[in-house]
Amino acid sequence: MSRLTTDDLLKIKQKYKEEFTLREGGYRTKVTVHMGTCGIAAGAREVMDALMDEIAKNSIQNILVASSGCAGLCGREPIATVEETGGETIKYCDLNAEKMRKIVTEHFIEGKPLLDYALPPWSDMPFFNLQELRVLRNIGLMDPENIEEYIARDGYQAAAKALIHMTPEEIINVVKSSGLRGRGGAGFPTGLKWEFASKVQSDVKFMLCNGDEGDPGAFMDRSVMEADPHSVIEGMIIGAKAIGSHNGYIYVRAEYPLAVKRLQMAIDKAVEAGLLGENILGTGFDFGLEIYLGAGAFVCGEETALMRSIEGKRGMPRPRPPFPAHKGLWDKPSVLNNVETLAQISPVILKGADWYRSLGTEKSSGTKVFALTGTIKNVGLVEVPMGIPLRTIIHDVGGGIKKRGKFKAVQLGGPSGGCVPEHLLDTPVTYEDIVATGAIVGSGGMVVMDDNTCMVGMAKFFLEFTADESCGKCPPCRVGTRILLDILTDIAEGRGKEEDVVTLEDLSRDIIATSLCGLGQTAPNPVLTTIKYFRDEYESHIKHGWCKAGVCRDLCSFRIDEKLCTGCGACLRGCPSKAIVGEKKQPHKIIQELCVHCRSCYEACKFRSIKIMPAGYEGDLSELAEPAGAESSTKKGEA
Amino acid sequence: MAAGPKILIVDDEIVVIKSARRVLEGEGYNVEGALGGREALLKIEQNGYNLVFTDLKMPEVDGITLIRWIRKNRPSTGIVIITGYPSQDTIKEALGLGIIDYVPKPFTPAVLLDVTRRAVQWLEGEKSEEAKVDEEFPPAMAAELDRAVHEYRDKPGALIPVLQRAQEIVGFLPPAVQKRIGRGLNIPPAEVHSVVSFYSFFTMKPRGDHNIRVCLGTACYVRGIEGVLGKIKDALHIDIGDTTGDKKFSLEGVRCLGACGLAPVMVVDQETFGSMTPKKALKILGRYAPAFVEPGPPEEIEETVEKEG
Amino acid sequence: MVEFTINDKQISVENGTTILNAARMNGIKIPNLCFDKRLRPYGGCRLCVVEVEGMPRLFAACSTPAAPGWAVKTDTPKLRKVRQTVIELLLVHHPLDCPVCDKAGECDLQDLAYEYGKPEGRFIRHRKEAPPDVRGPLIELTSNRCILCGKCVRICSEHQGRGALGLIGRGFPTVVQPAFGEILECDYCGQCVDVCPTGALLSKPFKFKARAWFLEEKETICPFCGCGCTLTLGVREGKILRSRGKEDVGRNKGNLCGRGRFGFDFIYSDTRLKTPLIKKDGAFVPATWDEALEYISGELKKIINTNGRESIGAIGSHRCTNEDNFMLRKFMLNVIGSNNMDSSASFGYAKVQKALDAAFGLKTHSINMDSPLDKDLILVLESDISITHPVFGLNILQAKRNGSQVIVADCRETKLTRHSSKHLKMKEGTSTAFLNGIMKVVLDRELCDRAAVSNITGFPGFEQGLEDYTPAKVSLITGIPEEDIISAAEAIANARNRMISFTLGV
Repeated sequence: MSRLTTDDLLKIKQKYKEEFTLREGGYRTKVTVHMGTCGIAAGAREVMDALMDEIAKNSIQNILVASSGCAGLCGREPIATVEETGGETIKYCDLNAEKMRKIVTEHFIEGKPLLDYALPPWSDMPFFNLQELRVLRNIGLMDPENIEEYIARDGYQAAAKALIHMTPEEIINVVKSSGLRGRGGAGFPTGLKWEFASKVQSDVKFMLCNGDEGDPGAFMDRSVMEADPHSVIEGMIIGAKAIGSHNGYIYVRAEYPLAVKRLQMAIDKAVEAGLLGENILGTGFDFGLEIYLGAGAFVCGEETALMRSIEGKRGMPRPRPPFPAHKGLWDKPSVLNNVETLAQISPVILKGADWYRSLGTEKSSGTKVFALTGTIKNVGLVEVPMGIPLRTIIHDVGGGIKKRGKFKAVQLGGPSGGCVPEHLLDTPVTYEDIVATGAIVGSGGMVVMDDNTCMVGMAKFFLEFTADESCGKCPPCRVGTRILLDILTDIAEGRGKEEDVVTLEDLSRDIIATSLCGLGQTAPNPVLTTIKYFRDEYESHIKHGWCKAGVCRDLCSFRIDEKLCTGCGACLRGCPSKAIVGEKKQPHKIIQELCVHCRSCYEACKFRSIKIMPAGYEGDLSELAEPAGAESSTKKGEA
Repeated sequence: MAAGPKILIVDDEIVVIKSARRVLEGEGYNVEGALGGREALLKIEQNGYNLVFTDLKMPEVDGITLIRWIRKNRPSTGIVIITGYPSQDTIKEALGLGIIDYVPKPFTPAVLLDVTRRAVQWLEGEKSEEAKVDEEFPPAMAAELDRAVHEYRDKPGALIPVLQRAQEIVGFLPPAVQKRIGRGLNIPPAEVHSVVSFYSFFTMKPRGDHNIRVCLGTACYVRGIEGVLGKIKDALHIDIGDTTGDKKFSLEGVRCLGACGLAPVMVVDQETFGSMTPKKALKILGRYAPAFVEPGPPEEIEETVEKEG
Repeated sequence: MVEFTINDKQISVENGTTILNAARMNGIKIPNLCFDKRLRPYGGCRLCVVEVEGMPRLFAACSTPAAPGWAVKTDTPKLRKVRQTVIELLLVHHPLDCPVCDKAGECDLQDLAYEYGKPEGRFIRHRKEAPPDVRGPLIELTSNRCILCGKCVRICSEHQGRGALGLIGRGFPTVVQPAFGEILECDYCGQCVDVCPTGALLSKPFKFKARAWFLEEKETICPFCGCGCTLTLGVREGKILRSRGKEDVGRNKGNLCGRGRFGFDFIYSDTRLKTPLIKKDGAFVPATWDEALEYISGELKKIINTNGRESIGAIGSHRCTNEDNFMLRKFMLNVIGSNNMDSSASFGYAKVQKALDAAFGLKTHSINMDSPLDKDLILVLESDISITHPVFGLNILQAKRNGSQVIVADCRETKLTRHSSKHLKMKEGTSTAFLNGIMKVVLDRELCDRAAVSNITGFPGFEQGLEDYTPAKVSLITGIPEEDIISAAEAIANARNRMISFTLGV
């Protein structure tokens, strides 16, 4: 492709509008198979192959086959979206090759959509109709490997506007007025960050993108990088103009090979089209972009550590001040923005600050992408206006708890965040309100947990993560997280002591006060929030040796309540240690000596007849202080 | 080596064999020829050769197939490939199979002799432990490493990309590789080692033929990855970070692959597998090495449990 | 200038000064473990945290620049509490080695624990159990005692330019080690030993010799090279047991090389003269000083009488102090009455002295240890200064870090060539041709003030002598590519402040 001018951008948009609008005499049907990492892992390639095969075999005309990135509802992949002239859009889900072939035959050839295979209509699904797609505006709707499709969707218009018609100050003002805050977790006003860097005098400045989404349970950035890489590039070009930078890096974690591939492809195509590199769009503005691969270190998501990593060193953070806006990469002024932040820049420039503020709240304007995972029905990527209550996200958008479980808590912000219990679910999702609960909005990871989760176990899980990922530079984090983990492990394995909870809280506060970087400063958050809202679980572990969720193997045992057991035998068949005995239709019994506490029986039983007791409990089930195996009671902590 | 090394030239073009023989016999090497892969297999099976030169693109039995056979059945035979298409990927694949070096087609007598001499030296070095010097690489591997260093040398922050490339080429990063990179980039070895030891992706231990990565992210944890991991550890008798004795599998824990919609997730080599259960995991491993499929309770249970999902 | 307060005391410092440096300048102590004046701020130990009124966060004083109007507090109950926790955490895994650790009595961790620590730790955990690395001849590494302040790694890499030690691993299991756990191979300067705040890095020769509190510290000048570094000797009962550098002391500002740190043991060599010896009947016989002086003066008088004053000569040494050489000269002139004096310097420095005198009329040319630091360009000629004058070499490295251009023309690979901005690899002994080539380029390309230069006595002959030394010819002689010769000449000529440095070897 040759270098483009601003006129060319509009021409391409026009061309796509004409050619690819479904209409009589043109394409009648468009089938998009969604091929993000999740889709491909779930079998989207086989589905695509089957589709192409059937089309060829039957010589079907007027059908346009496209591939795109993630559809958002990752739990139901592979997904294919079918659009028809004069018809409803249908999203087929949970596909395989066989189903796809059937769809071709019955839907495309015979004209009978297979609604059994499909999701309910978009407008009827809160998962879709409660979302406001700004960051995710292009995801699943275009082929990320085709730059023209991006251009057709207003791509690079904002960059053109910024480079040709706006000064750096004007760009910064728009971003400031929009109230856009960094979506990587810190929530620092983006416009302000750009302003600091723009004011520093330097021949060399760096514009950086943080694609090191290290939070376990977060995949917002991955989806954007895979499905809409140009939006990131465009945001960086605008940022570069604003601060006065001509060199940029996108730091992508190596665990995202598809994202790396798509980004590199996008960069190459943009350079070829004159939209990146030297003399962008003939304006004389140069901005070169390179990808730098991470090598597996969560701490490299931290600003200064990321810059150390690009310098080819150990990713150990540097003290701030001096701030990166003054001395960052190679001691030059640098701005680091998150993928999600950058993806929103072009619409902000094109549509203005007021448009951006039309959603969200005063202090937390706009939308936020959340990765909804855990024991929830609709697992996937959702983008909602800031200020929406948590409850709406979990119960409406997310569809509520999967299976027969009951909601227990939602972890916001990954291992740096905290858990929010049921009684606080009406909290609006804004930076300030969530911080008030003890958690953080963070990068957007939202892991829903039901009553099968042990909160002590969750805290221990998060500390295992942070202790392992700690860079080791400062003692509060290096030793402190290790000690916190040791204490939690002791509690989970039955060695907890009376004073442990107080010690955990005290040590946590000191670690937060003295740690060098965000990792250490936030690592104790899961501990503090689980203690705040689920203190009784800690006490149950320590004083009664009882993990009520049945997760901590040394602190629970399982017994079948003979009054409720129907003798169906499901538990017996699934037990890996053959520890259950019983005749058909007779109450079964668990042989405690053989039981390895794997919970297979508990999960298999449809009648809730298996109870979780303290380890070694021999007494009557009815004498247990709390109903065993049901929801844990949450003390009303301060909101 | 007592008598001179025995060399076999394998190609589907007789003219290549003849010219190679002429050059090498002129230097006193003991050389035979085989027209095509099939004849080569027969000859190698009957006689033993120290060194085999083979083309890659041959009809019926091609070069890669031949090399695989040799690595399996005559592992001490050295292999050099003659190829008109030395693309990066071809070289990487061949290096992965353990070739010593490659000769691009067409070759001059000088080049052929040079490569032969180096290959013979390499073979001799391999045979006597005492002669083993600090760093031993097949010449092709060394050339690839140096190329990687050269490409990044003048770029700032070169160390990490070079280490990533080197690990792709060699499979892991032993001290010898790190020292070579340090020399090439003018970085002290302690600093190279310091960087390698910081990042989880770099390994100083050789990986198995198949690398299993189990996702330890929150979503996968909540959906039961620990059970899957435990089952794999038991079946393979290794812990995270280890490789099985027969070098078939190595096991790694990864901090979130970002495929949380499919939790729990496991990756083997480049393929991602979602919705894992302990049984499913074993079945998948069984595809790579049949010995690991264990008999378990009947299939129906899995389906009952899954249906409620 | 920035005006602010520390503990209600009014402070005024230059822009960019850190709180810690401002405090040090004003006699206020802030505890720290990972700070060293010579190194970039690390911010790793978290002991130097301070409170700033009105700000919720704590700031690390070592790396935070003072801001105007700040009210900094360095000693509050909150700070005491968090410092206590940090020390407590450091001590959890620290071995109870004080009774057998040489560092006791001068150990930063001990001192800080005494001042800020808790009487009892809350956490009992396994101590680390790595065996000490005693393989090297001079430096012992006991990883169990290491608190990962990183100073040794940084002083070796940032300051010494060697990088022999590295932080290996990540997080809690990190250790400080040479590459791949091999034997420590380095310059053996021992800077790491001096800088280590605990007993993790110790001097092997000093091990178990004496407790720090029994040592009397005396300062002297190192005899090994012209740098004239100040050694702080640790003496017990008249015997020198160790030598170290003390912060900011001497021209060397506390830096020392391996010879200064470990080389004093020649004093106690078995073969050292302990008394004067007089040859009698072909064998050396011990004598008293009185006997010796009597003998010497007697013999000298005899020689003066029979052969005259001029038959006596004296050889001094560039290893003696100026004072010693001065006395020798005075003795020869005023007492013996002879002018026949020479020294080992004839082989090297004396020649340079003569040349400087002949060319520039400079009778002396003393060298300022800090002179590399304000130069834009430094040219090092065929000299491995990091070995001959290590501490001076450190300042050349520092200059490079500060942004100076360092051009090294040398046939060898040395530490300076590794850190140079440009290494001109030349054939041995071709410096003269190289310099002539430079001068010819400068003249031909009018990179100098020709008018001023042409007035120097002997200029025409000088210029004539350079005629042959074209870049092409010089390239042939020295092996340096033409374009490099030309660009070096341009760099040298265009620099505002420049320095040419050479020593034994040219």
